[in-house]
Amino acid sequence: MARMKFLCDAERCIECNACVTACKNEHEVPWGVNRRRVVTIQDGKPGERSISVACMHCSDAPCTAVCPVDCFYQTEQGVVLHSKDLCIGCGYCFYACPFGAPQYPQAGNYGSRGKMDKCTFCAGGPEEDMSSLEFQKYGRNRLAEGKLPICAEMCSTKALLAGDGDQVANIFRERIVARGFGSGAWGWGTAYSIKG
Amino acid sequence: MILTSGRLVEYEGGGDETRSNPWLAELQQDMFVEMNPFDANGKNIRNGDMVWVKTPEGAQIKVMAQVTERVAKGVAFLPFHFGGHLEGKDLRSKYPEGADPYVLGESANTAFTYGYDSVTLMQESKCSLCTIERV
Repeated sequence: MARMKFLCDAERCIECNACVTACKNEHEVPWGVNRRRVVTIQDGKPGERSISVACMHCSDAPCTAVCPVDCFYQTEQGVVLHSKDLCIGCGYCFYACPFGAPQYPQAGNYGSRGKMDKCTFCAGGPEEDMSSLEFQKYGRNRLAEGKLPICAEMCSTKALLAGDGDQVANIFRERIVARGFGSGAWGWGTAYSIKG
Repeated sequence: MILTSGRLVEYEGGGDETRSNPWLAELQQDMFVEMNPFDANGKNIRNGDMVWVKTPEGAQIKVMAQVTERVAKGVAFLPFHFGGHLEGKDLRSKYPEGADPYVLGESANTAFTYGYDSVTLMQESKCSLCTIERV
């Protein structure tokens, strides 16, 4: 069984925000909620780098560890999903997440933020695959349709890779051999170092 | 200061269509002027402050300052995809109902020169003069 992972190659990302736009369009994500975003460091200076960040679907996910209602689960493919029916909007996962992935529809204190929303690796949620209820709560389930996440599919420079971790690592390894190490696979140590 | 203008990746042309797309409009919500930290410090301007960009013809536009080394000392850059504000005034109420884009801002054209190319009749949009002051 494939173990799904994201990889953003900071040597290739040109900060075009196509991943962000494609994600919002695919899942009809409302204004103010960003499942994916592009972060730029050294903006406007020599050495400027951009990385596209969303939920990394960690092996040992901190959000899962801190959730008081256990609304998170990991699929057989390693995708970290959650149930919006169980979520109480406490915000613990947001504080625990090293990537700032969890998003809330409203600003507010404990319990008044609404149901948490995050990147689903285009894999929907606990509802029946490709049902209208699933789309309404979690967006499109592209994995069930046999497709990979839209953000990586759309990426014009192929900076953002998504798919089976071994294949993604092989593609990245080939690039490293060809060009040298550069900025590295940002976030991989944090997301996947603990196990598999 | 030298004033120049150009594009943003999110918007196209005058920007009315792209500023009406919520996915794109959310990524660029404010009309801005890029200026070098050297010039900004001399005028006590911080990143995100509102400033007046004033031109020799007497026009002025109210935009947000983006302090960045992307532009050289003595150069200011305006993106030209915005419209709907005129010299500090929000004209949203003048749009037909439901036709107003999500994001409005000062038009770079307001601040640019009357100069144009006599052969192609294309307006000068890359080189003009301005001064910048804090609001």
